[in-house]
Amino acid sequence: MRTRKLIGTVAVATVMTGCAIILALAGASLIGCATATIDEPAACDTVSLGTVPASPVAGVPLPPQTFTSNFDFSGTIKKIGDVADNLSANVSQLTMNNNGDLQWVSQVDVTVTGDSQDTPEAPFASYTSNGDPGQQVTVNVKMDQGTILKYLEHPITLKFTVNGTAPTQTVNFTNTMCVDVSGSVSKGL
Amino acid sequence: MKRVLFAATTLLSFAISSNAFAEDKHPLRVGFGMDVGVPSGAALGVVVHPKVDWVSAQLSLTHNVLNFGGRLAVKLDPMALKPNLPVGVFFDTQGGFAANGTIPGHSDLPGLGYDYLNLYGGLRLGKPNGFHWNLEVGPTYMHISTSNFQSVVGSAPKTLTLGNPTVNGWLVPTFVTGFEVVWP
Repeated sequence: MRTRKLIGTVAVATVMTGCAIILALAGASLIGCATATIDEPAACDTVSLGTVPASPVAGVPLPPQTFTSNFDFSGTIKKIGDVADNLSANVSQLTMNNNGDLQWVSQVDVTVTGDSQDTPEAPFASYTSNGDPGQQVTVNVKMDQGTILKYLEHPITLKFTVNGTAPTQTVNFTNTMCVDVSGSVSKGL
Repeated sequence: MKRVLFAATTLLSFAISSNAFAEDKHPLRVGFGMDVGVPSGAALGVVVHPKVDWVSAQLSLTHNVLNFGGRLAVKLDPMALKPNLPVGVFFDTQGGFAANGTIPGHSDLPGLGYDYLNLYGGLRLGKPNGFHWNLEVGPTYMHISTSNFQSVVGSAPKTLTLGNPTVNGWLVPTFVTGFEVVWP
């Protein structure tokens, strides 16, 4: 009898405790929230840069060759910006590719220009040869992430200036650029 | 109010420590459970009480409309030390996944899959053995992955390729509710 009474009392106490927890959690649900980070790891685009004609003589210094390429990652940035704040952007890949050897390339300088007044032409990336790069030159981005984001919010034009010795076969350059965009979300439900 | 709380706590402590309800050790009890919740979806699983009733594990097959998944839950139910108590509060840690899937009939749209960790507090209505109903609420940490995100590019340049975005973060609150039947 005493045991049953005790069980009953404990049961009542448990229900009260449980109800208190449920009520507290229900209250918390009214101020529910979601905090998250969103990451688009690689929005990539590849464009044709242009051609360097073949030279009949190997090892002849090549006059600086200039190429331009146009990219537009603004739609991707906007889509992520629609759902996330505190955006950051990083150029995860900036390469010049060719179907032949690019050992003849000694230096590449890249500038970027946006299509708005606050995105004038500015140094963007560079490459200095320190060995045979094979069929792909990876250009190192020098611009800081905040400035990169400002430019990527608009269509951009990259201007490549290539220095080196004249290749003995025709070179058709393509340019690939990949962007990693991330942002944070913190919303009440 | 303080007196009520003190009395309840004292009774609870007494009940748990009392020899009058010595724990009934047993080799293994099994059962099954069904529940629904967010983010796990609908779940059907096997419940195991290994040796003691206050620890249980549940392995479930889940479905969230998009695709199947799985979930493993480990529950600590200290009030199950008294198997005759028809109610209890417990803690439940659930880890699970939902395989990547798309809305049925729309395989051209981006897909969604996720892993999650639920840290729940719950209320058990019913004895730990036999039939009981559980209500569980708490925070969830999720890692969401997508697939075929390229399909959202729309009018962007055709050469633009998009990677599949990921989302990592906390969602508060999430819940699960359902029943378990454990053969005594």
